[in-house]
Amino acid sequence: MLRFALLNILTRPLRSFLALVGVAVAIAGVVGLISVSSGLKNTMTDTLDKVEGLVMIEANSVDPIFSSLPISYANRVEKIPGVAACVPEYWKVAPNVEGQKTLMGMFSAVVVLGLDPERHTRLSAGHVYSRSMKRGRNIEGQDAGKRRVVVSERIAKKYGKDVGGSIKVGELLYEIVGVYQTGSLFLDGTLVMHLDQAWAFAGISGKDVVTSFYVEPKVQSKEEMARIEKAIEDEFSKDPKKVDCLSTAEWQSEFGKLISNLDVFLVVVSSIAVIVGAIGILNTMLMSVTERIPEFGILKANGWSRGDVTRLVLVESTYLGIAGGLLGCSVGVAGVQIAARFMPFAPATPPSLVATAFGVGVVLGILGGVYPARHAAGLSPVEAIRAA
Amino acid sequence: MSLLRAVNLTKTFAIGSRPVEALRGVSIELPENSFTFVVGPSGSGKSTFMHLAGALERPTSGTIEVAGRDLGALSDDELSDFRREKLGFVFQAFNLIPNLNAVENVLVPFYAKGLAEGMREKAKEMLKRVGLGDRLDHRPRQLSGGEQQRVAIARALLKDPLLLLADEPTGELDSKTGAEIFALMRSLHREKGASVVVVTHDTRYIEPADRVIRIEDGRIVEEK
Ligand SMILES: Nc1ncnc2c1ncn2[C@@H]1O[C@H](COP(=O)(O)OP(=O)(O)OP(=O)(O)O)[C@@H](O)[C@H]1O
Ligand SMILES: [Mg+2]
Repeated sequence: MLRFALLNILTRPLRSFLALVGVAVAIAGVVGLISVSSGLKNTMTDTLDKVEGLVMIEANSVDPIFSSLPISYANRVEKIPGVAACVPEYWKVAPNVEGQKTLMGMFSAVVVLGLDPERHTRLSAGHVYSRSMKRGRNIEGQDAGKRRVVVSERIAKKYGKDVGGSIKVGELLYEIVGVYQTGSLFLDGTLVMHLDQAWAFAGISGKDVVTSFYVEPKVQSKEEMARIEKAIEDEFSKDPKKVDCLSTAEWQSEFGKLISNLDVFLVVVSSIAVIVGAIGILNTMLMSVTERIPEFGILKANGWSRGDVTRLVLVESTYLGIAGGLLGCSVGVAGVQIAARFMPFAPATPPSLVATAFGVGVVLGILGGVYPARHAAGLSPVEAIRAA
Repeated sequence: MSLLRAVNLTKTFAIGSRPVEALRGVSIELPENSFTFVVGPSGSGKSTFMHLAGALERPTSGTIEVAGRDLGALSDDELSDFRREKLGFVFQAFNLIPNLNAVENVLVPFYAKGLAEGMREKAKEMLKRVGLGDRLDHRPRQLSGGEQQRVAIARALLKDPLLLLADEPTGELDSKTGAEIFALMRSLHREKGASVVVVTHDTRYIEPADRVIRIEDGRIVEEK
């Protein structure tokens, strides 16, 4: 019977092929989407795992880029009990690197980060960038007044640069002294330089304004973070420039919202794809069953029971589902691999995803065959043969 | 013991609101190892009778027993088993599965349940017996009408049927080919002891020992 079913599928190769392409497209799409989104999730969690402290920015400014605070705030924060260190940061978007615009792609943006290396020695765990050096050295006190930068491996690769070379940011040329790699999509778009160079880059002369501060607590715990956060916000509540503290946990919940939206989106798209695939198989099997009505009459007259006929049609549609699942998984995995070359982060395609997607293909085959199978099985042999 | 016993068999088809009485009380008894012709005008109910005898349809009322089994008391699945194991069918035109070759068509009754060992060889032998030894892997569309009917007979031969039911098996054949088909059914009858019920307009092939049932307007009007 398995061979007979296969024969029936192969007799109409084009139609069977179209049905399985329908399934394959659905499966490949689901594999691709989920791979990309779980890759994205990995990147986000990577980022969050790497930043352990609090980020202090001007109240209501959303992002350090849009914030501006007096540098003197650092000393006040460091007096708050439980705070190990508070280091100033100056963030500035670099819209043009090596004469190329950086804001075109979602993940190609480059930002300049100015640090005060002396202050950084107070951080016990160090800064995320200083912890992630691959070659060369960190920005140090001796770099004050010098146009020197530390770049990420990604930026180094993209612009074909390395330690010892120089990179043009905006109109100015900087010497590359080190290369880091955090592995995080969002963090690896940063050019790290001395704070006074960042000010120079931004074109401000005064040495008293930064965009934000990185605050390291003495004890790493959720409760302690929340307490310090509250204490810092209270400390500046009477100043003209109030502050917001963002903890990793808060970023996490922001990302969490984003991710759950993404998940809803994925579920909707996948369901639509799956339904379309099922309808494709249903349609093909219905056509095939309708065309073969006299055959089912012959089978039944010759002793095939309802169950036998049902099984035959289900096996046929399951074949379509299996073939569609295989094709879809292969195309999906291959497509993700090809797409990965053009993406700044690695999509994640775990074997369980491929297995599940294949399983969905098989289930689609079975589901798409149920109605046609019942239809064929319920035919009266006499009427079926008369339809010839 | 009789092979087939029908008592007051009726079959009514409801077309819209108007019922069509295809059989209006048919009672008949056919002995084992008999060769029976069912004749009568078009629309008289011959095919309907054959379908009831072959467990392809259920009567509206009355009872029909084949080989001592009351067909009305059997479930659908039991009727399927009964057809597969005990009955052979030859219809006027469409008898074979287009996707399968001659050997596979002979084996088709057993495809769903799994083939017993040696069955394929036996199927080839049956095809040789009906003169199709050189057509074993031909598909139906590569076979003539007469050859297709022979495949259907070979299919019946494979299982040593109790009863071969043929509905105008020569209806679309020329007279020479028709004679060959009747000769084959005769040999099946003689050698295997199968009973044959054949619905036909061709009265030329009736032999003296045969039974003849004439049906008119849903009733048996003559029996000999
Ligand atoms: N499925 C059906 N639905 C409605 N009416 C039917 C059905 N099958 C048969 N009939 C009617 O029952 C009557 C008997 O039909 P049947 O096919 O038994 O005749 P027949 O003797 O075999 O005729 P023929 O020699 O033309 O084959 C006819 O009037 C036919 O129209
Ligand atoms: Mg008829």
